[in-house]
Amino acid sequence: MNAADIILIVLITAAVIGAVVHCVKKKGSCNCGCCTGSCPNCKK
Amino acid sequence: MTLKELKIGGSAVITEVGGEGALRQHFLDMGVIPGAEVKVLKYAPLGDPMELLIHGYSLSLRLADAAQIKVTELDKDIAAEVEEPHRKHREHPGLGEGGRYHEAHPEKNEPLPDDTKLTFALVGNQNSGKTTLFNRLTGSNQHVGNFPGVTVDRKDGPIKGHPNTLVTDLPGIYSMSPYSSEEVVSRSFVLDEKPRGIINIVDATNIERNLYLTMQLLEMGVPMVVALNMMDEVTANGGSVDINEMEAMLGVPVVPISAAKNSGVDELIDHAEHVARYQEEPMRQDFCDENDCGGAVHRCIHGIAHLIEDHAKRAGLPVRFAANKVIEGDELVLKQLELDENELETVGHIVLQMEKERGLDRSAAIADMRFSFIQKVCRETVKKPRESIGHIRSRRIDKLLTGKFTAIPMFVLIMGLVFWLTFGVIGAGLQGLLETGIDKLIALADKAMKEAEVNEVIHSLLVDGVFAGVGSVLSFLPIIVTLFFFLSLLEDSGYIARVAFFMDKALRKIGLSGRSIVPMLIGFGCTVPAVMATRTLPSERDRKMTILLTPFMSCTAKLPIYAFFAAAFFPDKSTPIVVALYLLGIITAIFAACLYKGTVFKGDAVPFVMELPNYRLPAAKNVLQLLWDKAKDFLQRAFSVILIATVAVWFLQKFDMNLHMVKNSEESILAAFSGVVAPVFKPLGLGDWRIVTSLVTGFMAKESVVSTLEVLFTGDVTTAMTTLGAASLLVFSLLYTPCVAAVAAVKRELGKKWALTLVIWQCALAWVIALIVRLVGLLMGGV
Repeated sequence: MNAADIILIVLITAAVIGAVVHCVKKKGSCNCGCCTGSCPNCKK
Repeated sequence: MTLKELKIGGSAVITEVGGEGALRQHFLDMGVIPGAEVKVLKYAPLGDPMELLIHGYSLSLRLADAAQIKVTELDKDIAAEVEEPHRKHREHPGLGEGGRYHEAHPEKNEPLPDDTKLTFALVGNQNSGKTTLFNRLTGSNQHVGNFPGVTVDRKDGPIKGHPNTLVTDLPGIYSMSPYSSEEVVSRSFVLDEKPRGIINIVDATNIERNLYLTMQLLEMGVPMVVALNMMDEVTANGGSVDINEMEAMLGVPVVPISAAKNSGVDELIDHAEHVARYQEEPMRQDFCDENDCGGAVHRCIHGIAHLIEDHAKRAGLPVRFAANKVIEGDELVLKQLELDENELETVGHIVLQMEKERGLDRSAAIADMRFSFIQKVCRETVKKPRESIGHIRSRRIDKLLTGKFTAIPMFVLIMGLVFWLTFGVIGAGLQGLLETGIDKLIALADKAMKEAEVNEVIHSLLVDGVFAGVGSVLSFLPIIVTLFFFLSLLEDSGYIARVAFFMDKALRKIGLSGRSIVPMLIGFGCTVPAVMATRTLPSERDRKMTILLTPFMSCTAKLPIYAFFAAAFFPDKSTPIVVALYLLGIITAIFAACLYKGTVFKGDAVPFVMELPNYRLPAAKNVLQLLWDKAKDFLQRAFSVILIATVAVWFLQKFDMNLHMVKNSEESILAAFSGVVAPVFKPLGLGDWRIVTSLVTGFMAKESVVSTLEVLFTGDVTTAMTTLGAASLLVFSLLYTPCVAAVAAVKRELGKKWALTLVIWQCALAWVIALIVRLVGLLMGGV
């Protein structure tokens, strides 16, 4: 395993953890990519 | 004669309003009261509903309801009348500011402590500019539309630069008699959450109708400021309002503003903060006149107010408001007051006597009392503007867009143009460019990783998994943004309200109301806000039925699936195929509506009463903000849900049950699981486990179908299925269960049972129709 592998593993892990945290934070809220913002869960 | 019999261009005065219950109350609240003058503007292209001019605004009404309204024809044209106000040159009353008011009311000199949060309710009629003002006050970017009922739930935010404040934007209401569920939200907020102050936004171009709600708010005794919005439009068309006189007559500060141009908003904030801080209650709550028609209504209101005073105080209701609601027979207020039998009987007698003396029934008498006062205020203070350029322009545009013979062809043409530009020209062109860019980036990354001798597994995860999956979804961003651009143009321009108007008769045949068209059209963007938008529908039956039909409108998240398969299997017919899928969704919805109408939702849709806004040029900032929000949400989704899904799918198809990497994905964990479900899809020609997997991931997010296929098919997807299989897959994707976010929205609105039923029903229906498509294809010699 070389340095590039380690860097990529760290980056991938960080991205996946970030994505999971994002999804957990938005859990139960409207996660629809096309929402017009009319619903209470889309408060920006 | 009845209103229904009045010809186009004819004016009349209303003599009697028939009907019963909440709908009749709604008519009265909209100003359809005995004595009001009306003019018939036009009939919808299908002959029903009709558009009326009443109290200076356009109201749509079904013919069946118009038949219950008796009128006497007038010789004059009511639209041509312009009255000059009686000028009084009154001094500024000084309400909502220091000085004169506080000198006259020394008891009001103690402000609330500085650390008290000043909460405000932003209340007004539908389409009066509440959300525009909310955005100005709070600096937020809530979506603003140009049809009644864009706001379906409350939104909060502090006033910019005033940290200890909170403004709540409430859905638009016409009165405090709740007619639809959004009106319940607004009424409950003012009654139960007791804001420190009310900012009542009044559309100055339509002042008579708007002041009806103002009067009911004044009765609540909450400190209030009236914001006369769109004053720029009034003055530009030769109109004016004597602000000092109006302030004196209403007993609350009146501030002329233009929310769209951000003028007068600072003054409004100062007055609102002042009335809330000093708890300056309205100076006037008594609008009945003892000299008006013998004073019957006056005596009735005051008599009942005294009778119920103790009950109202115990229930925490303003006495004057409660008295009027008791007279109107408002069930909710009567229940809250808990009057005993004697009191109820006394109330009944007082009301009966009033009805006898006044010659009007209870609801009409109260509405008449309010409109009489409004007329008095308007006579003294308002110089009506000439017909605005906006209205003249709207009338001209309407001749074409809602004309008898042109409305439906223009609707088809406009929608066709939207889809053609989205899928055939602008969106598709931009998508091609983005796709090329993404492919080049992936190739560069691939080359760099090979040169750096990156581990084979990591290389595969990135190139075959993340880049292929997320990249494939990202490339559809331009199509989605383009479709939203056109949908927002239609919505902001005021066209969607017209579609509701002329589609009402056709929609009634399948058991829906014209208003249902608004959530349906939003459904082409996304099912979640479409489900939320059904809150504007006044009847529970219409709401449920519309919610269950919106998932049939193909949302933008399904676009990547269509574009992906259409490009792979029908390269020369991509646009017609996508348009045909949209049409199939609509046809299936019509079929389902007929089925619902004959089974679970028997009966008719509630009558159609809707205000038609003027056409407006959509504000560039508003449209750009919406597009940015859409793009941002889509990108967030691609790098969250889709990223997780692609990594999970890559892992499951690269490893077996013993967590050993497999050479052939047929031996993977994913193949083992999906293989169990695959036989169900075999009759549809979709027996391949990879297709089944992609459809299952589509439940999480529709875009996942494409990203999963990109990960699973290292080769060409055309090798895994036939053209007919692709056709049935497209149909199945169109109709099967909506994504989890949409199901959650349905669950929020209708409950678990309906949400689960919807998932099962749509999957079953999608399976059957996809099978029919395949069988018909086979019969026609397809493969």
